[in-house]
Amino acid sequence: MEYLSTRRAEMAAPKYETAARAPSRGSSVEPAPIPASPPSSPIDAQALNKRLRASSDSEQKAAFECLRDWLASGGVLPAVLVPAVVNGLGTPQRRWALKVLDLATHSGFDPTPFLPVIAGLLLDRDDYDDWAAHSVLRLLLSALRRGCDISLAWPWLCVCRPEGNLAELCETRLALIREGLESGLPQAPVLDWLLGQLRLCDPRKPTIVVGQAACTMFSALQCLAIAEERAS
Amino acid sequence: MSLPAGLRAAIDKMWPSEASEREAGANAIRSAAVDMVDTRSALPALTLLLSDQVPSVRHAALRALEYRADMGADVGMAVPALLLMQEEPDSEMRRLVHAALRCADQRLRGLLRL
Repeated sequence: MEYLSTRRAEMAAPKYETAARAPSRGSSVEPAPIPASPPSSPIDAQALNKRLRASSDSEQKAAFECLRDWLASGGVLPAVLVPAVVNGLGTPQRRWALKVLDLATHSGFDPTPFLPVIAGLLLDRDDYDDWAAHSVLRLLLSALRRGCDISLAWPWLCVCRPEGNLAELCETRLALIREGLESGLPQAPVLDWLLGQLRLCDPRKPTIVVGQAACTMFSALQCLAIAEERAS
Repeated sequence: MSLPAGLRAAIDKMWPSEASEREAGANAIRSAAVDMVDTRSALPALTLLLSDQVPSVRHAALRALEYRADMGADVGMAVPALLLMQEEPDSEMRRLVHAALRCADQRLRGLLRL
């Protein structure tokens, strides 16, 4: 008992003297927190604009990476870069463009004027895979949380990779449906997909698969409860 | 994927500028499509022009999209914006909207239930 109480005290006490210790191999390293204030070194928006419009894929990708890092460190999306980023949605750099727009939305960018294009990505069959669908839904979720009207995209939410196996895709879609229903969007376009999630899972499958299926069913049931509450 | 210089210039024209330039940009995209140039990278700008305040700009964007759809290329990105245009007062524009949506629906295997 004495050992247990000592351990609890050790675990409860925060340790501040570990900064100089290098992480050992295999240890989990937490991602660096995003600073609240904008980064001190500004980006050269004109040069970046030129690189975003470059003819080579690698140059464009490098420019998008640079822009992503800038936004992740608390910067804002310069207005001069918006056309190049939105044009990127029609190129092989689509996922980068979506990531940049998502980060920009978190830092105050209003995606409302571009929602017809973002909604259209749910029906676009170029670059059609689970990760691409996940990127679109994440951006829509950020837009909804920012207070944007996503009703243009709502009817197509569940027609994009409806059978996608990616856990992140399913989680993001369920979060978007839950928050969309709570904000008053209609249940009809998402009802069939939600009911489809209430399928039985073979308990002989690996525990992680069964657990994931149970979580999905629970979230789907929560969404259905919200829909029912809204309807009554 | 490298863009032909002419296509890049046409895409740039479609962003906020004079209405005549936006219209010329959309017309240039259509001409490029006629010349069998892949105009997929112009889809975001063309889609945004479908809600332009100037009818002639909307018409030019619509013609470019309808041509692309008629050739069997993907215009799924423009579908939500096209659906909003079904109530256009101009009958020629409505005809183009329905033609583009019919082609898109074939590609999406009846998803739009037109």
